[in-house]
Amino acid sequence: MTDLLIIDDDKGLTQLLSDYFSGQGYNVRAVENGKLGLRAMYERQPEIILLDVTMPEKDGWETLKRIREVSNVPVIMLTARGDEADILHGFSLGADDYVNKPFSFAQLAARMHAVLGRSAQGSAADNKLSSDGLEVDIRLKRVWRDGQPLTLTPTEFKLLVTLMRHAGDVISPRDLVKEVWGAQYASEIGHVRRYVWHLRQKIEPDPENPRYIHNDRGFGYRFGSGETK
Amino acid sequence: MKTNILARVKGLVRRWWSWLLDLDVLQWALPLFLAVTAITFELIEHVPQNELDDPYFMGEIIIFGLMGPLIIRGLIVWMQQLLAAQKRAAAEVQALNRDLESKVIERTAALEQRNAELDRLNRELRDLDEMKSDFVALVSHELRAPLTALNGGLELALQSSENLPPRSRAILEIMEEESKRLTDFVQTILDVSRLEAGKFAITLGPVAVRPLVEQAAAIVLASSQRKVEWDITPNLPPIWGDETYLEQTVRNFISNADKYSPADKPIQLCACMDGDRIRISVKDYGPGISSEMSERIFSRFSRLQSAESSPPGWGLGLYLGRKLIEAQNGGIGFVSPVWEHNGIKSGSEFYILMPVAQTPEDDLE
Repeated sequence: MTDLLIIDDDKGLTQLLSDYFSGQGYNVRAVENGKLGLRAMYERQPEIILLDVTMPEKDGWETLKRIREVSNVPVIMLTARGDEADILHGFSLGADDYVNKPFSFAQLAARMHAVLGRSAQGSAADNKLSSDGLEVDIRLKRVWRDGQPLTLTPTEFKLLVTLMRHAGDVISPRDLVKEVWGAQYASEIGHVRRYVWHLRQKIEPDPENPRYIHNDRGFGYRFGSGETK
Repeated sequence: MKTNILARVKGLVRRWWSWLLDLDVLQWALPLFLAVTAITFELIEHVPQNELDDPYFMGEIIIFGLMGPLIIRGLIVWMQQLLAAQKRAAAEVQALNRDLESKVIERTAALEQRNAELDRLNRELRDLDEMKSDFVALVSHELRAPLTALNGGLELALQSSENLPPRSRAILEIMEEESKRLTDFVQTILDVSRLEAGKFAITLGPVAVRPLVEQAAAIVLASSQRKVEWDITPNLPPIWGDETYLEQTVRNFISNADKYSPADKPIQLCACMDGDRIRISVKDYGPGISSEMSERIFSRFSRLQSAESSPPGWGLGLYLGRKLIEAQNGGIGFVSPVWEHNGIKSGSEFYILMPVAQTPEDDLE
């Protein structure tokens, strides 16, 4: 049984979450504030924590900071504040995921499953890709070049991650479409050329002489250093 | 001493000269001088010849000694009148200028006062708007926490719905449906307040049209039996826009079309070039948009139908859609009615017009 600790001052919600996750096979303990949460964490050593952001006394951020001083236990933040700045703040303090209220319990269970899976593999590094000054955080969905943040659309981000995961290999436009948009769009390879062109405008210091994404004419695209063939 | 006397004489001459040039003096002095000169000249000319009885002498005295000076005097009086009229006109112009200047100063002051008043009112309005947005955000946040418990409780109760009496199950299902609707509403209110507070970040990039429309339809119509007719031009170039908010707007169009169309009628999803832009539209077989509704359809809290029997909604989706599309330099609109059958007009078509993503010219495969 997986030990789950819920730290939230909303008694109604913690009661329902306890019932739900007990039914899912978790060993649940719920407490109503950060102080009690820290005590419960020392006593029980839970395998995962659900932590509310807005609480009296010690709020979620403060509690998370204290948790991270002593433990790497996966923490999912629960909050009614869905602003991007809040989400980034949560991740910067070491949260593993962030769920906005109102959420469905099934969705939360799926997120917990994913976080526990990642934690078991110890795969924090898998969330990050980097090459020659370009850094990608897959969990945060953020990209930096030489430390400067870049703004990509979700599809551009997916395209970049796909290319980086196959760094050094030539990927045909058809395969790229399949991976990024889905197999049903494989015939529409015209998209790829335009997407790559726009992606270069955003990520390359000099799009005319690309550093990251190269064309291998007649074959496809290749991510990584080296001359364009 | 000599220089001093010379200077005094010069000053005296200058004073006399300027006094003589004064028209009030000149009008008498000049005719008098001319009369005396002319008579003297005539006397010098005719007395030695003893021609004092000569009619020519008398005539010359009258013409040169009297008429000439009188004409000069008349001319000077006329000039004086002209000068007086000019002075009066200049004085009037000056007075008008002064009047105008004081009026301009007065009006400017009034305008400045009104501007200050407008500034103050604008500030108050902005403050009020911010307060409203803060209030809406606060209320929405406060609603989100209890909604989580409400949705979660219903989810939990319906997990083993087969063990529930049919009536209880039906009630819980209705509650779940309504709770989801309330959740959507709270989310939309939050989106609108964020948008109005300028907190929506638009990320522009290329957006492939077919995947966008198909994905939007798949999400909205996932649990619907609605038939869809597709009319998407093959190989359309990508749009230049924000894919998340574009999809949100298209989803709203599809959701409205689904809500307002009779169950047995399809909805049409179209995408094509329209001039140099791409047009994505959703056509339905609903009742169409009334003329009084058409003017405020993209305003806040404007429902497509307001009757009690009309489908549920909050009248914020199209308003949010307009704001989102305008923020991406796109256009949004509708056409209604679209169909005519046996003289009965119906249906509406909601569309967006978006710019095409720039085409790479020399990027060869």
